Amino acid sequence: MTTEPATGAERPRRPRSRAALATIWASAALFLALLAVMAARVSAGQDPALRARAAATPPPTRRILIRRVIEKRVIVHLPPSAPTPATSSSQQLSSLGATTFPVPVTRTS
Amino acid sequence: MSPGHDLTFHSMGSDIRLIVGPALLRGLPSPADAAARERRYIEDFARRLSRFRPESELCAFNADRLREVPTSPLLRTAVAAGLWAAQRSGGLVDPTLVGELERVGYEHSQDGGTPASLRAALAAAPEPSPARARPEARWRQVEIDDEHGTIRRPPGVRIDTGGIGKGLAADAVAHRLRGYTRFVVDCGGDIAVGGVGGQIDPFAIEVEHPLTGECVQTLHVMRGGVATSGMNVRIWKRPDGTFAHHLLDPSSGEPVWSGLIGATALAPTALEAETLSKLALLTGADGARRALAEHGGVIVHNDGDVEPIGAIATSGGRGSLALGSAA
Repeated sequence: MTTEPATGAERPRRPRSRAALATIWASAALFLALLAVMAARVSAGQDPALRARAAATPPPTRRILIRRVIEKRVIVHLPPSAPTPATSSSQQLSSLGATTFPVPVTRTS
Repeated sequence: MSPGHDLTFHSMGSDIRLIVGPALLRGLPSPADAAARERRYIEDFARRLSRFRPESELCAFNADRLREVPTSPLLRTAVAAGLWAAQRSGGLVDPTLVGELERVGYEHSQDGGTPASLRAALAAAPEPSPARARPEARWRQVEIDDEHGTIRRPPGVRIDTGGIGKGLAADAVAHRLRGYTRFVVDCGGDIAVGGVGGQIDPFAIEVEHPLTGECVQTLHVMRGGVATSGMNVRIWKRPDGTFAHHLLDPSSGEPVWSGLIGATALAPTALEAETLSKLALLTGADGARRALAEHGGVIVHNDGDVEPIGAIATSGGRGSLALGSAA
């Protein structure tokens, strides 16, 4: 029984681990580089995603309607001694059937 | 638009006057037809509720010996109005004084008769004293049962619708004329006025002096009731030489001499105005001032002096008196 075959089997693994390690480091470096570029653009306000959305939906136009209400009030001051129905209401009186019948009298019955 | 109509006729022992303006809506009878219709209503009302017609429903009710008597809705309404007036007046306007009225000589209608001299009666009258209610109020024993269509009262208790009936009739006809622009229903001095036309052109109603017959006040009323009670028409000389009239002191059963000879009241309805005018006359000047303070009125003292009360005193009878609810 010997240990030779086991020692011989570990030798070819070394060059493959070195290549893989180099690939990993290169990928990480490239990722960090790209990340740095993108972070710099975003911090400068040049986010491409935001710019595209803003272009798709224009800001809504606000419309403000201004109405001007003008109210006219006519105040007529009648002399205190004037009887209640003014002469100007004669048209209404005739349309409402005011009559010229003798005045009713309340008396003892 | 058809013009209004003015109809005067005699019923209920008094002159009745109906003034009907144009109709508010198409399809209603003309003012003349409406006035004729209401005349028939009033004549039927008087025929059924007269104390002086033996064939009337009221006389049949009074003569009935049963405690509970089946009656028509009209009679129940009239009796209810009498009970309401008694309640409103604290028992002074008592509808159960039929026996007392007969004892003082008012057994038959005095329609068409010549009244005695009021001046002579005042000269012989005792010291003025206000009327008082009866301690044992018979009117409180009268019960109306609309569910069974009956009136219950102790046998022997009789009812007189009297002036209350006139006020009730005026209000009923006014209600029936509500489709017309303006109307006046005058049942012997108990007046109901209404219609939208009165809001613009208030009705002018003159108050007649009981001694001179002159107009002592002109009232301008938009809507509501006006009534006058006095002792110048139904007054007579008894066989013993004393004078009597139809307004009795419930506590004594004798004619009241309160110091007043006439009282006119305004109120939301003619029924209430009739009640208040009687209450004023029965209670004398002080009581009248209290009774008429809310809606206004006019009283005439024994010496003929005229005293406006309430809104009439402050307005001098001029301007418009808005009576009743807004509805």
